[in-house]
Amino acid sequence: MTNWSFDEENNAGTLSVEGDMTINYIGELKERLVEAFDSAERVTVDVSSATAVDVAGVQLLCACHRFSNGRGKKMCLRLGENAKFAQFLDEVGFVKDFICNHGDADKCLWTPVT
Amino acid sequence: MSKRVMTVDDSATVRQVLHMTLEGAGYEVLQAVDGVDALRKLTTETVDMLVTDLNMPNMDGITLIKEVRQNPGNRFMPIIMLTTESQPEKKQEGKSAGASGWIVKPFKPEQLLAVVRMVCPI
Amino acid sequence: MSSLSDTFRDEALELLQELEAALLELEESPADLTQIDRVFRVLHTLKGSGSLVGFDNVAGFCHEAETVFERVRSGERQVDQELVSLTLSAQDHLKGMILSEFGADKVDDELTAELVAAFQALLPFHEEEKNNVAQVILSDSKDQTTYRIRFRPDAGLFRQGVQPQFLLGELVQLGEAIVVAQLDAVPALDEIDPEECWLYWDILLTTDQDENAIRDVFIFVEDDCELFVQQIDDGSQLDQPEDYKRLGEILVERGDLTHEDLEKYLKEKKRLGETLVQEGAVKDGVVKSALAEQERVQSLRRERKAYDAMDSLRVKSDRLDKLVNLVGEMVTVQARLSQFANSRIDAELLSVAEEVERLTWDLRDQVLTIRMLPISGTFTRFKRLIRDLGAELGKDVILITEGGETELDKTVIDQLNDPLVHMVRNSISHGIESPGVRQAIGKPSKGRITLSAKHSGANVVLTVADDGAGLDVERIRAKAIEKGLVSEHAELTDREIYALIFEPGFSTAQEVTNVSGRGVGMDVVRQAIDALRGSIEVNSEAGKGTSFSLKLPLTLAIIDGLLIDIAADHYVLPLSAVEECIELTREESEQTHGRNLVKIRGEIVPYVRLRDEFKINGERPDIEQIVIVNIEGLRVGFVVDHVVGEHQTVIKNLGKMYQDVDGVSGATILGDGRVALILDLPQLAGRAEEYEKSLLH
Repeated sequence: MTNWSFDEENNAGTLSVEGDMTINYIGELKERLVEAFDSAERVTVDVSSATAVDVAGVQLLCACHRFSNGRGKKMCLRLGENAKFAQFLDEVGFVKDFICNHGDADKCLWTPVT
Repeated sequence: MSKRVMTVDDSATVRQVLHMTLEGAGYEVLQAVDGVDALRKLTTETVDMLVTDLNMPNMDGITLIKEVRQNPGNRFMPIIMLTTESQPEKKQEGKSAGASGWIVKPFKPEQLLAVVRMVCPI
Repeated sequence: MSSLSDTFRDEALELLQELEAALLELEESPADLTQIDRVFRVLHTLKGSGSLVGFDNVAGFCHEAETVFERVRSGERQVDQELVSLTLSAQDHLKGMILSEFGADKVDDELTAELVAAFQALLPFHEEEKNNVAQVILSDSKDQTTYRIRFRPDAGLFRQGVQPQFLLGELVQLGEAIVVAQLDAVPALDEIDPEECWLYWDILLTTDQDENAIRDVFIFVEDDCELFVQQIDDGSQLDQPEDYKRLGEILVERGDLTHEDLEKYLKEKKRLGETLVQEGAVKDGVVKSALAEQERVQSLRRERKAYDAMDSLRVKSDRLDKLVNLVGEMVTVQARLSQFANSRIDAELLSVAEEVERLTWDLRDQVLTIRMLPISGTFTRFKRLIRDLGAELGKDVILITEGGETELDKTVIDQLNDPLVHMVRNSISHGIESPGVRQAIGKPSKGRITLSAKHSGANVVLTVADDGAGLDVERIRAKAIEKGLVSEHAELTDREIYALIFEPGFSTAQEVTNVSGRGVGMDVVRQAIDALRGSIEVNSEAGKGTSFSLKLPLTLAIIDGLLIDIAADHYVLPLSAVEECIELTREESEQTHGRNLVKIRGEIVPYVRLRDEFKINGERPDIEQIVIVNIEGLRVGFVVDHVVGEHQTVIKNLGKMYQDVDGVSGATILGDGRVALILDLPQLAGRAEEYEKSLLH
């Protein structure tokens, strides 16, 4: 369901989510994310192959972002071509201009890297 | 991806109405005649939603909902209960047991679909 | 599967047997709670099933008995011999009621009434019949109201099997919504219980629905959430200032900021929003959501003000009609004046006539614009229709509209409503597949219906398109053969097959639904569009969808016409259909061996001799003119003696006597006072086609 790749030189890792990021799997996904942030300074969460997402899923990404900001770590979100994911963000009101709480657009998680 | 719904009701008429309405709207339907039958079927089948009557012989709907929520795989599944206007207190009881919403019998097919789509759209 | 009513009959008879058994047990031991429960449950189930399958008399009857047993169950009444006997009679009677629906003898209505009265008499006082029918009051007013909604679910929402995105989706369906998720309460990764919901939402909804409709969306979670619904703008109030509340005021109203804090931060001479975020008094997302509200309401009010200003003068439409008539007469007189002036060598008269001509045309254009209305009003009405129809037919359909600002004559708009409704109904019932089917073939589960309008010369093209299954050419063909509309061996192009759906009495729906009607099909649409001097074009692609394009004149009062002569008579053809005029010499017409065909740049075009069509005697000129027109994609020629030129044609309806005359749709008065008939081109072209076919067979 998830795939972790680590680049030791840059202390950066990518966690690719390949299944459903939904409430039914959220506990396990949280564990993987905790491990990821424990083992790298820069974490990219790649959701381009996520097959489904719900409110619990995006909420968990927020929690990651909050955590990484608090620890001085860096978090990126990679959406790729995942139109379903993007549409979902739109439907539940994750509008970058509105919800970013940092005033600094570069720091906004919802300005995803494609 | 089509969604699977299990309908639980002791009335064959209600089961048939539920079946026809839901299937017509693109849901896959699995029928059970009461709580016991539903629980037995749920051991081998997975569904995306449960629509259950409350007043049934063998095992009533409230007990069924509680039992269903015990299974970790069904903790977040939408559950709709069929109530009647003469038992409004059942709504609260059902909610406490873990139901997501309710439909008051008798219902029109479009009312059923409106509720089902609210908790489990295709 | 057996039919629903059969299922009900079998179930009901079983239940009645159970009822009898339980009653007999009760007779023995009147306090047996299990049996009381059993009686109650049977009556209850029978009532529910009965009303589900439309046996309302059965349901109503059961209700009476059930009410009494409900009191027994709650201990407010004892079971006695009287109740048991009464219920046993009721049991027999119910059996009769049900079987009478399946061919048995009718039951005695008096007995029904007696039994009902007997049950009611067992109640301490006649309970007021609760009105259980949900009343849906559709507000006629299209006034748009804007609401501010905050939805903050309890953390346990997910465990209730409820997904907030579906609720938000329902809300968005009610109107125009801005949904803003608020993230400030989400704990960090190491602290979060990911199975709990920490997000909350601010929604700004502009809708024609009332607050109850909004609350209904949240009905399942109303005890498990904080829900604030506040009306912040009312479209029916005209005297609101354009300015909306200030940011601080909005935040205080929303409960995001206290009055005291507001006072404090206002003293700082900076922008309030920035100050609040910097000081950490209010989260950035909350400020932005409040700003969005401010912006939305202000822009709504601006729009409304502009609209009100536009709409401020109300004139009865019959006055406008008179004005249009007068302008029509003026155009006619002006034509006479110009003709007269041209025949005199008088420079002064000519210049006055030209001036009058210019002014008249201006006046005509201005008067016609007064009657123009944007089509958006009609489009909006379809939003609800589509939602309701979709629900009725178990199909998920969204409406997309384009070009709502396109304007059309009020008369045309009024007459368009019915044909459009018919086409949309057809698209939903026959075109759009059910969500299950759509998913299976890889389409989005929501079907789309697009209503669009755009200008095209002197016409407006309205398109009703769906992304459904497309027209089934084979089925239409088979049906047409079955109905005897075409011969079994006819070779038809797809376009010709599509045209068949407009034939009277044609309907291919395999099962007649109560939505798209019985037998009345697209021919009704065709007639309505013909009456508007419009035309229909059908395009369809299997699996991709179908589109109907209606080409309609901007106005019905005055058209640009082409004046032509045949012998001493004048006729007018609607200029919008005319493509070109070419000459036809006697030699050319004789070369085709009696077939009315002419070759234009390689294309064979059939033509109609209007002289023959109208049985006008006399010798035709050596060189005639063919006016080539385009009717729904088909080119047809009309042979006339002379083409006189363009003519501003004020349309006069023919009297009742002539209304059904084929080939003529109206008349107009020429500059010299003579009358010219306006030709009904689609009808005439149809005859040319028939004639050609009769030659082929």
